Amino acid sequence: MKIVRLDIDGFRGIQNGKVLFGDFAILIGANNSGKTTVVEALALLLGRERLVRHLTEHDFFGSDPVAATRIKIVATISGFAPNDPAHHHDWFRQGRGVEKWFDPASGDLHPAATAQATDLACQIAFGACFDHTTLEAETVRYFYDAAHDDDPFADDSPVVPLPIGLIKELGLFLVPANRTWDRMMSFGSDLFRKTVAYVGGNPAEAVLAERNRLRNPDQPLEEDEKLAALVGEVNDDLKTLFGREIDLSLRLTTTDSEGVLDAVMPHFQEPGRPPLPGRRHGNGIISLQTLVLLTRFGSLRKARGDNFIMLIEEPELHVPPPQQRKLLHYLKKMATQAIITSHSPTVSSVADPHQLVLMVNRTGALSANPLLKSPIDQNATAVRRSLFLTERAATVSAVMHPAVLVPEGKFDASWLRLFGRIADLTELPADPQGATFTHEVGVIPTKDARIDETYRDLAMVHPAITCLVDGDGAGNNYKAALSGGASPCPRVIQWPNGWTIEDVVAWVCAADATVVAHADLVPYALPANIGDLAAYLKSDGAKRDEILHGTLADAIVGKAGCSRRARHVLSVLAAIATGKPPPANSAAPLAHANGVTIQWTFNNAFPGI
Amino acid sequence: MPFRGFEGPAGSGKTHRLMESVGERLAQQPLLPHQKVLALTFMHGSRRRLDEELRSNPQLRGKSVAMTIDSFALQVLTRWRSLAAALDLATGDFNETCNACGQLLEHPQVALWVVRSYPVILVDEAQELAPPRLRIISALAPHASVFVAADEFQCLDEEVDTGPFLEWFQGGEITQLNHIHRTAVAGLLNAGANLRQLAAPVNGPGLRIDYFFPNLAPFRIGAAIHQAQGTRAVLFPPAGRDWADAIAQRLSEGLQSPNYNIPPIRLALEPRASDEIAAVMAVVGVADLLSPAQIAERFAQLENPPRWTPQVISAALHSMSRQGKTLWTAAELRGLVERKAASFRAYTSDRGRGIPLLGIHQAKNRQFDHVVILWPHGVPGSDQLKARLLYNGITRARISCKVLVRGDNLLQQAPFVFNAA
Repeated sequence: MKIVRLDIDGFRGIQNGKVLFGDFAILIGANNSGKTTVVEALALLLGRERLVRHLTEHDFFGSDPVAATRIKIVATISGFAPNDPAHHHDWFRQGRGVEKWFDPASGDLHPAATAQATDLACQIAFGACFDHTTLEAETVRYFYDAAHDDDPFADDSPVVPLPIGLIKELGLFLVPANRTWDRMMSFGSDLFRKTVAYVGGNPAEAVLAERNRLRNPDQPLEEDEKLAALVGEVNDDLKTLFGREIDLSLRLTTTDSEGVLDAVMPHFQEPGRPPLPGRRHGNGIISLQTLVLLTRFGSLRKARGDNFIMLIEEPELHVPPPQQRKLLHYLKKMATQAIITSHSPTVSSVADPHQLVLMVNRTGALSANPLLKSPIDQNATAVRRSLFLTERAATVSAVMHPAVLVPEGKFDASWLRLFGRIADLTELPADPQGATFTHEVGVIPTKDARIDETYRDLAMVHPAITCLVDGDGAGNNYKAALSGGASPCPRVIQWPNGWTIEDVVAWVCAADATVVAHADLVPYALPANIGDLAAYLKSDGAKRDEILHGTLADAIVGKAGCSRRARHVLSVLAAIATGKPPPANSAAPLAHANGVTIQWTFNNAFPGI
Repeated sequence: MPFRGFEGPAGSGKTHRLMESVGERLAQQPLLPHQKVLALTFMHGSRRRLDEELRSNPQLRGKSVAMTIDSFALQVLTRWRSLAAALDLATGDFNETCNACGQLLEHPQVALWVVRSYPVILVDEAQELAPPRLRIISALAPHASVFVAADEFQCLDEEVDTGPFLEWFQGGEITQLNHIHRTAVAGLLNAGANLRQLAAPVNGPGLRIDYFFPNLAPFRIGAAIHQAQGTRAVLFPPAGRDWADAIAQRLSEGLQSPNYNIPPIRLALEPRASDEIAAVMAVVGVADLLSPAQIAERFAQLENPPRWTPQVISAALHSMSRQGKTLWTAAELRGLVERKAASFRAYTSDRGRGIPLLGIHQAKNRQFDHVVILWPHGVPGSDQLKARLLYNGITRARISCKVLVRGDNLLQQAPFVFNAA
């Protein structure tokens, strides 16, 4: 069994959203895009009771729940083997769930099997409401039948509660981001206890022997000569106070089995070195304990034919990169299903593009789409190969931003990156427009001349895409192409007439022409006349010379006027890309007849810059 | 496998045989731990009595669930409303709900979903299965072991066309039960047998059919009740309520005369749900828009509030705190009142103090040692229906039955004399 779909309503920052999961899914996205919310939603619905945190007003979307406000989390469980309700009485019968049929291609559910909806599925839900008299959240887990008339908190509600046994059957195990690793391999750890219980219970005899030894130590502490005097005095005091013998003894544990189990501390020993407790090792080793234990637990469950769903938040936080890959590959093999959240390109690179789910949260509306609908195959276009294979790390880090900018070619992307560096290094602390570009806008290294195809591929993934085209004839053609088709690009920015990125660079430099005289630039023999700079940068050699580009950017950093122009360029792009109004007169908008596209033209005659 | 059917007159032990053969079925083919026997019947009262009977049966105790057909239908329809919507099934009143449920159950996936929990289904009083409800049972029959008890003659609803049921019933494996176990009193047995053939019932041991002058009638009724030992009940057919109320009033005062000295007798009218609901809704105006607190104030004006009114108020308060519903229209409140009255009836015993005074419909499938039937003028329906009503009244009795008619001319009419006979 696995979770194939999750619907969230009114939980934390997600007003509504839907996520589809494959057997192996890595959720990526900007901060605050809702990755943790998705993980916690799964934990609320499918975690064991202990995992269910106490909910407060802040867990409700908007933080101010009224009587009718609800949190509703619905998971669709599929992957029943065999795919027939007659074999799953615990899930599908009167008094339990109603069978539905899941269409893996569309993610839709149908009340009866169809040619597309082929997978038997059960929908289960978690609901919460906030009681204004007790100031507590009330929660319920139940079988979810349909979208209407289903308030589980209504008087006479017909909802059927979800038995805990079915939740256990799913075997969801969560490794949250805020974990403490050092006691994982001890009885203080839930996972360890679970694993021990699973293989057949506590080592009872060893525990009892150890308990007895701890009750009667060979050398009791209270008899040590340095303590004996103090202990004797305490005993005398107690006798005076209570009028009877009450002797103090000092034991290492509570002298019961529980105390022994609690006191167990994992140690790890490398050859020729003393054993060290887990917490004395580097993060690498102590977090790998969990890796070992998890995979052991998973393979135990798998060997017995039980379900095992792994949910790991940001493995990159604690696990070193070489083990990240190993951990994920291992999990992929061991778990029935693994769902992982991550910020890390290394972690993301373990998954195929169709397993990477990009989450974007725009004022509460969550969109979650895989980078590709299906596995990439040999018929994939050059654009797809570039976006999702050769340049995947760059694509993934770009789409993790709240807004995405698709320029005409990859030199535009690299120049914009340099502009970002200039902005980060020269930004004034009080600048109201700030360096929003670098953390709000991700730039795609577009394969040259493929802006339209790139846009179409990414539009399915990311809801906030802006395209950037040159001010030439080709740029006009792209602009026309992007404004057409089934889903036209909502925002297209064009450089001024006749301009390409090199003209922008030259314009930036022109703010202080002395910039080209910088000593580091001497070997490149830049034209002395700033008016010739653009043409020079467009010449074949200079256009591709990224060392020259970097050196020129460093020179720009040193010139206040130039760097100010660079920042201005970015702030205009960032404002448009994130849907905010750009500074007045910095760009001219023109609404396209399709009713969707706004075409912006950058204005280089901006006063004061 | 065809379903099993048991057919026979009142008191012939249909329910008993039904349970017995379900027990045999379970012995041959035990239930899985999560499975139960589903017992379906019509009214909340008969559901409760069926439930009691199931609990007292050692083979079925803890392994059965009794439900009214209507609430079963609502449950299935609620859970499968996605499919119902996809099939565009009409829902609304109970008939439509049952019909929609039947249509759903005709889809094997739904029937099997029910049968995975309830592989054995028994239906009591199946003669009342009008087509929408019959559809439910006949859709389940191919997938479950179904056991049905019925006596067509006991169908008291002229609106119900029993034809489709009888036709379906022929398809089962039917056992005819002819021996009456409830009573061995000759007068009662003969009257029952006569009425089934639309022949006049005759006075005999245990049975008296009499007319008394209006002034005498309360005394004779009081004496009959007062002298009887065991469980007693006073029954009346439709149109008999006013006379029954008047008699109840007289008896409650005690009766004194040279020949009689009868202490006060309390006849407890078993209220019908619809009367209770009407009484409660009388304090609410059509255009009223009430808060839960105002609803409580209005209900406080009721002289004799039904026992379920507190549940209505607490449900309204619950809706305010849970759903932010602050005001109720009269129509919404009526819906809530009806739900609460029904669920109260479903789970609360109607045993009150005093001797039950109830309509013949309400008395169905109950039994008493001594029964008094008050037969007024103007009982509606055909001769056939009147015979059925009287039959149902007389067959409630184990030891004695006294039928009092309000006018002596009534003795010359059906069901006391039949023109055809």
